[in-house]
Amino acid sequence: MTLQSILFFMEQLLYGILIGLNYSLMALGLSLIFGVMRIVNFAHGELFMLGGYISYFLITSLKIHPILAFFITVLALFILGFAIEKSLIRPLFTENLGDEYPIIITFGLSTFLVNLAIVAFGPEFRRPPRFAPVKVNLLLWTVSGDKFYAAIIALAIIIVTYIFIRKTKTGIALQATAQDRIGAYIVGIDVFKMNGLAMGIAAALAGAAGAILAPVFLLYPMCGTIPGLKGFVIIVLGGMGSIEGSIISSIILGVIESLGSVYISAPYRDVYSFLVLVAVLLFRPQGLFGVRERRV
Amino acid sequence: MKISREKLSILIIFIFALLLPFLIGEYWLYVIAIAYYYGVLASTWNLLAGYAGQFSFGHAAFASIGAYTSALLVLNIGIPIPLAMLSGALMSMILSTLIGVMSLRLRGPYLALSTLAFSEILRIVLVVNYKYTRGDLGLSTPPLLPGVVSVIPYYYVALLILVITLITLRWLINQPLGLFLQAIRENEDAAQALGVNTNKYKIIAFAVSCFFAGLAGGFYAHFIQLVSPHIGALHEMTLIIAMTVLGGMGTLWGPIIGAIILRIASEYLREYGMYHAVIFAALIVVMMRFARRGIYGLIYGKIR
Repeated sequence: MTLQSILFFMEQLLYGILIGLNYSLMALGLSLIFGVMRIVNFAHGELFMLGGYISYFLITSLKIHPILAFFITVLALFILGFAIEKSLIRPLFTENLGDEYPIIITFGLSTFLVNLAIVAFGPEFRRPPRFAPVKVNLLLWTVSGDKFYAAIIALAIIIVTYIFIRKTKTGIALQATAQDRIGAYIVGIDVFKMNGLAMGIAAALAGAAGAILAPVFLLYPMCGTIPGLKGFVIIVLGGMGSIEGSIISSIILGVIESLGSVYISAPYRDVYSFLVLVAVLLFRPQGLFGVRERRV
Repeated sequence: MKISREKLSILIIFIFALLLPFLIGEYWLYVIAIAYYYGVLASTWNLLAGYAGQFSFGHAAFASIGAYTSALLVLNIGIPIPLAMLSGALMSMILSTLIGVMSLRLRGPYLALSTLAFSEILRIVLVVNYKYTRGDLGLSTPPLLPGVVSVIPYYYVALLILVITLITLRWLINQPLGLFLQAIRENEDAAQALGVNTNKYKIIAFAVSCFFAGLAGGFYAHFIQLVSPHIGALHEMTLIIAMTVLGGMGTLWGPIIGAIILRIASEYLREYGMYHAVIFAALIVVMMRFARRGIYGLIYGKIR
């Protein structure tokens, strides 16, 4: 192996980590929702897409500064997430419905948002303005500036969210609800507010991901499908509901995809996630960081 | 001999369906034949979702497995079309059994997640292997009934497939299997405690429903004579779910009613373009939120 091939390998590894950090915004939110409510939000990719469009129109049509636009987008998605929980998901807990309810309703919401976006924004691809220099020099390598800055912003958001969940009183109440819903209710935690908060935070994270990644991967109504799917694979890999698991698995998946598309085949890069899913289901169904809830 | 009211109404509907070609024009007959295709998909998806409480987002994808298997066999090897359709159905059943064995032994939304990933991956694989599938352009396939220009014979084939599907479903539901599935939906722990091999029955339900999806897909391929990744796309899945939810989940007739209504509705909504997809998706959300029993549930509730 030559020095050049080693450097090339490390460059791909670095790219994988950068992409993985971006995936982690989606996965962390899905994991939070699953932890608190035991449901999978199938509309998560569409929240990503909405984040992208909101930020795009704020910047291009209203000429708002990108940084301010980013914060407005995150706030808008937080409110949307809260509203989705209150209007659509709440009956699951108050009307004693089956497991099919959240799956169908979030899937319905997902296709509703996609088609609404086609009608409202048109099916064409849009490229939001870049917010980063084209190339960034990083020690020995030159990497795409968009991807690098997106990853740095994602890392910052992940750290803030992690500290919020682990250290603040509200964050601990969220964890308590995830651990034992009834127990949390008994000690006076407003579990419904926690549902809304989990959904709001998750939506805000997805929106943030959409806003910062839109310049990298073009914006179109279906652009959330693949990121959403990656998020699902990651939470299964990390262990459903595990916060740390979702972050670490994001990076693992990013690296697998990056190396796979260089050393195996590039057009299949989105297929590797499915192979990862198959492997996890076969060999470690509880995920890397999950615990087996029961053995019957 | 005393005929129950249910049997009488089934008989009347069946005779009506047989006479339909004499009542409406070719255009609407075509629409109804397509509605029967969706009826097969919706009612077999309903066996899984409505009766067993297991969620697959891959039903349209399994239909496209049936369609592509059949089309590729006919085009490359030249075997007779009915045999190719059957092979497509079996292929769909084999793949679904593999996915079922993997993800149905786990509790929780694993089947939904893996079938969603499966359908998205299948789309990519079909588009990337341009050499065999001609990607998004699709393959043009020979007709099921060579030399037949009229829609009427196709209509009867579609009706036949639908009737076979419904008879099989009705038979299955009244078997112990059907009761086991409903027990699994209501309470999997209790079912297991009473000695039901829940994994086995969930996998059987999944395999059976995908067999019919594959068969319907094969028919569709040789009926419209074009196989494209569109057959397995997620918006088709949305349609299947919307039909089932509108008609009534967990009922035998609901999905068929939903399929026919939505198929006719999409003809009328055609001029509004993409808006009809928005309406159908909104329909899923609104029906689930406010009228979970669907049309069949509402009517049946009134009669009783």
